[in-house]
Amino acid sequence: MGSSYAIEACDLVKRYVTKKRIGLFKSRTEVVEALKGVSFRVRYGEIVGLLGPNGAGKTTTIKILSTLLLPDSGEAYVCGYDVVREAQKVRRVIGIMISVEKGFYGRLTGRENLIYFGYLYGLEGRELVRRVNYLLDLVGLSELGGSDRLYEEFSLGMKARLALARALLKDPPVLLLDEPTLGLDVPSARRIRSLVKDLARREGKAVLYTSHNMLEVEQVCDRVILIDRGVVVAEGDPEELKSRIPSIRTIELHLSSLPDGLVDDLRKIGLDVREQGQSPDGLYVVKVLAKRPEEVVDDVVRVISSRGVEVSRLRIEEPTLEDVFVYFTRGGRGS
Amino acid sequence: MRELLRHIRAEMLLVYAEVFRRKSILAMSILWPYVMTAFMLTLGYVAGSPEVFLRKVGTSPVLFLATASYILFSTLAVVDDVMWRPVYDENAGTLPYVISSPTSTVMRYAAIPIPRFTLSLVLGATFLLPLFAVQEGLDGLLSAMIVVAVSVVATLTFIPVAVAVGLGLYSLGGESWRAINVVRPLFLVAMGVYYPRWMLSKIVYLLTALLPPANCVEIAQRVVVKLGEFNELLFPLALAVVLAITQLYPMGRSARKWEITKLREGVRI
Repeated sequence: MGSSYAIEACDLVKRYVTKKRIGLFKSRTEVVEALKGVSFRVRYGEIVGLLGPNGAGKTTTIKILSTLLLPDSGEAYVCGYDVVREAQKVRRVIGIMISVEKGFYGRLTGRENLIYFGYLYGLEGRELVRRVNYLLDLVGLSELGGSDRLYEEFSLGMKARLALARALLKDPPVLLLDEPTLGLDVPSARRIRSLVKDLARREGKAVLYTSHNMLEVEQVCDRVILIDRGVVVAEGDPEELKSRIPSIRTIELHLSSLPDGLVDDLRKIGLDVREQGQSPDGLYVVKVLAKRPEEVVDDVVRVISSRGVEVSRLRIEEPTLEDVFVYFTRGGRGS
Repeated sequence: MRELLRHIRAEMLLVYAEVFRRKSILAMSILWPYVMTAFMLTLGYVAGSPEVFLRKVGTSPVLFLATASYILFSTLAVVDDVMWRPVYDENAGTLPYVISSPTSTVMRYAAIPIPRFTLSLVLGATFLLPLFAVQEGLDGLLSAMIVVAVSVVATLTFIPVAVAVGLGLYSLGGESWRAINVVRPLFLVAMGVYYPRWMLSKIVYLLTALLPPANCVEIAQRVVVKLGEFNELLFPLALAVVLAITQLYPMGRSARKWEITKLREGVRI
């Protein structure tokens, strides 16, 4: 494999073997297959979301790419370096952010923690101090007073910002972020999201991003890899994935009045129509279900207007990434 | 060497913050050798008499046991630091970031005990030097300074075997506080700080001499008792250094084995 991709995972397999004690002397070996041949690629400058339900294999994948876990078989490369044979080289080109709520020394300040890890990452002297100050400003910790406050006094948002700053200490071309906004308040989550997007767009960093927040993934990621029970079940940009699910979509109409017979008229032209009662502002809500709403919306409006009813609001509900997630990860494949 | 210095700086930052921000730790560090010496003396006075001790060992129990407590405190901290750190890193969640850093595990673990031993120099000034000065005047001050210097060598030569045993055990059975509690007293007995090493049986003496700091303990004890010429003290010192150098290889192997074990199991997040 060459190094034109920032991340390349090829047929990764990982089994966890655990021993469960039964009684005093006996134990039973249990094997959990976390990854059953995961393959994907990430380009430089691309933000790729790795999605899947709990236990799908996301964190195992991130761990293998971060050189924190050896795969049983398969290969993975980061910036062209093999994660098993060239682990030290991989470690120089990755920044990781896993588990937002811990991962620093409580009795050190935000600045001291970054200096500590800076030493570990091979930085020193003025270069280290400059980098630490720059990152504290970049993630907004300086303005929050987190630079010289003890880590044990940090809020979750401050901890997440510091974790992102550490991931950027070496200015790595690849970022591996495991649920970076989990449990954060809105300003901190927004800051993290906008920073990640900036880093990919302006500096061409490749980002592998896991999250359970579908809206966030849709906002941040260029491409999504869906993983379930250790295999990749779907891959593509969010719009492409949405178009792949055979869903019934909805046209929601808010009408000035609902004369008798209007719903029947709509049904007569072959539409599935549901009355939804009145909205808080007194308008009548009607929903029309269709596979391709764009093709029937003109007919719907024509029938309604012919009865002298005004359409105050019309909205075609699109399938969300959440629908895609549910479809691909709950056995919806092929159904 | 540059990497080792970076690690030492990092560890200084961590340990000094811990010690100076928690004044109770600083106070206990200073008080501990006094407490330990008082305890051993009380035990000794209950079971025997200072005259018997003087006749058998050749010096007053106060100076002998004070030296023992000081060396114990400064050298056993190496085992504590080395074996405590993986447990602490795992609990603090820092282990994944440490392991995924482009650095050598051996270098890091070699650097971990250094800050604590620099603190033991302070302890020498607050404990050993005043005690010896009061008991023996200027001569005592010189003896105390030699003991402090020897304890520095003891600490440094203890690092390879502490890392080899500590991380070796962890790679076999996982990180645990229980392992520390088993290993620490074994090292304590093997070092022989609380009894004159030259009074041991030959076999036990030779076996424990394989532990580098045990040889430094003997030097310190001989200095306190004023037993033997200066030249005679150089042999155990050289032996300690040579043994420590030979133990660098198992130290490296243990560190690598521990890291590979962690990577096979997966570093806990």
